[in-house]
Amino acid sequence: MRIRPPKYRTWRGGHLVLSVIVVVVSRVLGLPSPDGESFWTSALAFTQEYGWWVILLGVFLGEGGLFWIESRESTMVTNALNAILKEFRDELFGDAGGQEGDHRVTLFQHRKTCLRAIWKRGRLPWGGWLVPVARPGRSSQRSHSVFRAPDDPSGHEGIVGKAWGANRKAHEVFDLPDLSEVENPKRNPLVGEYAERSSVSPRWVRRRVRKKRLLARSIIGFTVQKPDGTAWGVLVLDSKDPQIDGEKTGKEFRSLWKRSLRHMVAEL
Amino acid sequence: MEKITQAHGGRAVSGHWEDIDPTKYDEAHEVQGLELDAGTFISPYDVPDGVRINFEAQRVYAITLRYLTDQEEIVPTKSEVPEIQFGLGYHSKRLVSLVVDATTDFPEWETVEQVLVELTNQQKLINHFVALSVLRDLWSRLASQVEELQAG
Repeated sequence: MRIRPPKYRTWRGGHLVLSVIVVVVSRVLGLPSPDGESFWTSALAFTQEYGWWVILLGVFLGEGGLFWIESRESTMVTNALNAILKEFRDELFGDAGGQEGDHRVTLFQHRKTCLRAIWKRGRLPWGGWLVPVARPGRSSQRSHSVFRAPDDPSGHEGIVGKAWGANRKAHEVFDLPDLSEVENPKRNPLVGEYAERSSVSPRWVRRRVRKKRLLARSIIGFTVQKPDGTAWGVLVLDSKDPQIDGEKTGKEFRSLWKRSLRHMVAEL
Repeated sequence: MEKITQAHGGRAVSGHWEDIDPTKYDEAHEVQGLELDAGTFISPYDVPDGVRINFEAQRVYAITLRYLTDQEEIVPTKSEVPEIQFGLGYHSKRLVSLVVDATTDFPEWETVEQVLVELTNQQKLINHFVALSVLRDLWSRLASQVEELQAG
């Protein structure tokens, strides 16, 4: 699944609810057939006879249209976000070498509900989630990880969750164990150390080790805010290198914010 | 920092923004006596990139810090020291302004530091570590100018 910021969620949800209400109400009320022949009475008779199909067609056309608009719009927003985050990542890690996916920048948005949590995490979709909305780079474009971020800080997951709940609005962890050579994650003590220091479950780490997915050795996360100071989401930088330059990160982020991110966040 | 002169006396004067180099404060390596470890990364939103001193009335000075988020509502907050008042970000709990009434004496830096720490303990202020560093640099310069002014 390509990561896309949501738009029209309220609109689509409202449309669906309205459609269901219309179907139910029209079924329950079932107006009596009118006597006499006129354009309006025959139109009413036609509606009564084929009403279900008309409504269903309306629902499908409406939903299809909205889905088409949403796909186009959200892809445009995502592309723009990815482009500006790519520039940011290149400025930060351009000299670090390695492959493109070794140093990543991911923008998470905080949402009260996340349906993806049901099939990705086997968890209830409400309660607060941090959902990835943009990550530049071809090899690391596909992101499935969603993290819990409820009101209770003890339930926050991962560095991204800690950053969301951190009082100083930034959270970092450096020099995490290198798990790239681990063959049997179940018996390896480094897995537990990694999980504890990065605030995720050992099971999550073991699964990534088995799938040979990147497990970063340094992670920085900090809250992204709207221009009025309200928290919007979290920006996470992670790298295969054991350290990330904090001063450079701050400098480049300020430039990114003033140039473009400020306007994007205000719009999303 | 713009020099305060007798010409300012008795009327409100808005000073110019003076740029701060935020990279000096991005990592907490210069902050002593606080719980942060050396090298701790500080959110770019919590580090000011500009400061301004306003001359609000006779011997009343307002120091304002500029952040990335500049549309936030400011909450006036009184401190235990009547000569010092603060303006804190409504959502972010950052220190945005500091109003000093130097009608009698210009407050000592230690007093300001103590008040900031107290606000932090009450969980009203979040970026005291940066605010302390920035204000510490500013305070001695401002105090000496005020002394000069009062002596003259």
